[in-house]
Amino acid sequence: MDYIKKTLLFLSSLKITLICLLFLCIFVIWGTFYQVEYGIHAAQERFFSSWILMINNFFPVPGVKTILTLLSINLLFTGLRSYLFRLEKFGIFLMHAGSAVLLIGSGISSFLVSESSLSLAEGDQSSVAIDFANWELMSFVNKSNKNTDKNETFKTEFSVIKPGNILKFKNGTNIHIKKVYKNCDAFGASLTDIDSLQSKPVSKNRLENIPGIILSLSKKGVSDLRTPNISLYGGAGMPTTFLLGKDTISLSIQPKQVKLPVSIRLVNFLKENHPGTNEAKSYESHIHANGPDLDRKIIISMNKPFRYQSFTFYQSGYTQNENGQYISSLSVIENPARFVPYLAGLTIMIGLSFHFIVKFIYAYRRTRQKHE
Amino acid sequence: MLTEERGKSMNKILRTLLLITFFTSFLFINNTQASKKRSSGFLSVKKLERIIVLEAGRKKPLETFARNKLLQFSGKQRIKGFSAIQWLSRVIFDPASADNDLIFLINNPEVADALSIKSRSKRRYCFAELFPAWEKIVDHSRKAYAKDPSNWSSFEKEMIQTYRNIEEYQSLRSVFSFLSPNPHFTISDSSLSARFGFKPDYVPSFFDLLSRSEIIVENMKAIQQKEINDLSHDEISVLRLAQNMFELEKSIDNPSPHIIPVTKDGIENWLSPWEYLKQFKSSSVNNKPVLMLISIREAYLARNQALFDKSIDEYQKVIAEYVRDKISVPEPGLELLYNKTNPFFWSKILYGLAALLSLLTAAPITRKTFMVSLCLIIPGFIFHTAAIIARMIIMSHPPVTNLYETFIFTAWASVLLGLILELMKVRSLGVLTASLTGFLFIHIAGKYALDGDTLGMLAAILDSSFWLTTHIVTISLGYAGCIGAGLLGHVYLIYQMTKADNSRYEEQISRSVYGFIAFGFVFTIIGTIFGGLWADQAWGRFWGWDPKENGALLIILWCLIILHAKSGGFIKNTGMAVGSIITTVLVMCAWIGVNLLGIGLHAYGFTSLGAWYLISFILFELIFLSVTGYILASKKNKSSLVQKST
Repeated sequence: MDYIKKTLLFLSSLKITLICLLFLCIFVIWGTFYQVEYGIHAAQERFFSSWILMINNFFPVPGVKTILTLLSINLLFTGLRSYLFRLEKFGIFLMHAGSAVLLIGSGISSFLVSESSLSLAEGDQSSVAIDFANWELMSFVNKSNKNTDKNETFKTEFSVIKPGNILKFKNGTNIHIKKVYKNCDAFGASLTDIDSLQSKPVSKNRLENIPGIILSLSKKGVSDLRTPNISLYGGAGMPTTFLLGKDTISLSIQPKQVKLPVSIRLVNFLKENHPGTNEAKSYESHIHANGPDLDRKIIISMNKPFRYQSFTFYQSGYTQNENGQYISSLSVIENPARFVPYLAGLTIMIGLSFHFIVKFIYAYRRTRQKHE
Repeated sequence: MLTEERGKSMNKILRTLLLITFFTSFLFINNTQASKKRSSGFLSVKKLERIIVLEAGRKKPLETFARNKLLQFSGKQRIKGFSAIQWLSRVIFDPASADNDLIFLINNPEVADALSIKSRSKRRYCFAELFPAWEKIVDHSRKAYAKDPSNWSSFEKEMIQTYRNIEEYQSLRSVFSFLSPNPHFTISDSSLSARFGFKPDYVPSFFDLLSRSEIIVENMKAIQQKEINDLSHDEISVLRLAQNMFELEKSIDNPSPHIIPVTKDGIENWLSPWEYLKQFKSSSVNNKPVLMLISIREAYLARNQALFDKSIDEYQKVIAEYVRDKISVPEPGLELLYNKTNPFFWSKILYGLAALLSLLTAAPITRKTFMVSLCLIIPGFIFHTAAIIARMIIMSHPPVTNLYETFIFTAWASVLLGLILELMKVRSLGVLTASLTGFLFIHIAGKYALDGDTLGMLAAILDSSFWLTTHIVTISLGYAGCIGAGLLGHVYLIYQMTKADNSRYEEQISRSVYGFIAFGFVFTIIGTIFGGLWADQAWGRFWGWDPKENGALLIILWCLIILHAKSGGFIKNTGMAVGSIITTVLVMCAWIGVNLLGIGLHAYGFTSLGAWYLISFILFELIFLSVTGYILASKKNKSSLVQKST
């Protein structure tokens, strides 16, 4: 019993709170300066989304995720220990609870959020958004016997592909991964006929990295049916096709495609400038959304997104093509836990208000007592 | 007895307030009178101020346009002997008379050396001395433009600024250049000259020829039916005139100010007189606005005040008739009042005087000094508040929409907090906080105003009054609280170093530091949550580790550390004072510093001014903390030695 009490006291210790806050301060400053050199994605990977942070690739310290987890536990136990049943401290309890919800919710969100974009010219329609920060290996096998075999399509996330992996098709075709390049240049007759790939330093801007893979194909049970090494390049823009026995196999590395629950058609795009300038005052996309329980016209503009299920569509920008036609860029975010910050924010604000109202009432009472 | 004392104090406050109001009004009236005296010999251009022009997407009085241009060129809103609108009238109507005005601010003497101009101690040069070096300016600027702007040296930045300023000045000079005699339009043949109605040897202007365009059009019709070799001497002359007119027209690109509003296919457009002539050619009915402007110019040059005022009235009438129901034109009264009264300047002066008084007499200040300081701050705060409200009305926006306004608003909030502190009977601390922060932040804001019109239009992403109010206003209040805490932290440490033991007063200061930190923390956290929600609405994520977000988070984390460490007994009053000073450094880094990184969604662009201020401030705080730490440690050692020996 004493042991449990000691553990509880330790977990709710103010020292832990202060140490966690101090570490967070240091990492926030460090991570912000790191962004200048290496970009926001690299900073997030190294600092803000890491469990362990390696200093000089040698000395491990807890990463921001670890600290936030510890802080959340500390907050929960602090709340349980001292504030729950005291009216004058209930506001503070709510603030701590809100902060814990925010931290835990953000942690959960970081695993669930996906971000992609959708660019449409007037009249265009699509139900697929593109995630340009992530890549996938698209493999398509066109079977020789059309009567008995079925065509097969594989999509494998590039981030999980490692040298030595074997990707297997149902009909026995195997893809043997030899080398993986996070960022590379391609050399060859054309982008679909590449002789070699040359590794490049990974750019701080993830969107600038173009990956490549060296692989070979084989067919299970047919010992001599194996292709030489094949180089695939993300910048090719179209699949490269190979013959393996009687099967035709198309391979490509492409930005990750995200299937949307609705089909979006851009009806028109409206832009208003500040008079006499080319600076946009406002711009909005008039779209027609079509889904299982949705068929209507919707306007998406700055600060006015369109939400559907766990997806939210934002007006992120626009470009003009060579014909002067506007192309609307929509950001598509999938976040099943998007309500968490609202809930946490509301809890913190109620806590703050409650705390100050109680403080005010107590101060008022004290003043009255003094006068009396 | 207590009531009698209070009554006496109130009387004193009222008397001092009256005195200060009288003094300020005297200065203000004196300033206006001086301006009138200086302008004697010239026309009063008061009516010209009210004409509305379009600049950088905003419709504004010509007076504001003049101020912005003069500020851009010279870093000042008036030049010796002339207000901005008087200066602009001379540049537009009578350019030669303004060419010797020392208005081009060039800070780097190397620029003057490179242009072979004698460098001036006051760093301001005139068009007449810079224009002969125009080719050199263009040459140096071209070389600089070939480089990445982030690699520009201070010399190159200054040269490019000079190039832009002179180009814009030339544009202002050319507003009525269609009326200037142009040697390219000289008609050598006297019979042809007579056909145009010109006297022999008359050098016509573009407008002279445009007014007689039917003669040119008639000739051109005949010319088009002939071979080039069959053209008569007169016809060749007309063809040359037409070509020269076309070339000149092509070289002019809607020079500012854009003064004539038109609508075409329902789209609003504002044109310069030149552009108007280009678009509407010779039609005398349509030329009415230009003709009216020409009569204003003629009246100005003839120094005919009555005709000048009448022409402006008529022009305004024509424009009002023209735009009725088609274009909304703002009423310039409030903006002119705002410009002329220059309320932030007066607030700064009053806060500055109060701060000086408070600092000279040192805390705790005497009752008399305190009252005078308070009476300086109150009218300053009234001017300050009125100016913020005026800006909100003019722009129909919440009070904070750009970096300049964050300083103005944070200054206002700091003064308000200081006054509240004074109401809570914390002796003289509120006066010091209010006056010092008010003065410093208005002063810094003034430096940011040099970038151009502070009443700028909003980018599409910011065009949300709800989020601007909730997020930016609350964050600014948070900044004000934290900075107030820092300032009081300084007072606490200085008091500890210099004064004998006065634990009651020390405790009072310390409680105020705690209160300000708590205030700053509460508003920063509310503002940050609102910011996150806005980011979720606009970009689809609550938090993105953007540098500005990290800055706000850092302030929150640091305030949490101080508040928790204090409540847990890990730090005492001195520790909290030191912590509050560090909070101020963090606030300045989050406020100005992150813009200097040049990355992230909130980056407003690098300003060398901001970098200079920030570095100086951090250095000052480091030195202050080191010196204070050393002195306090020595003091502690001494007292412990004394204790041991006794």
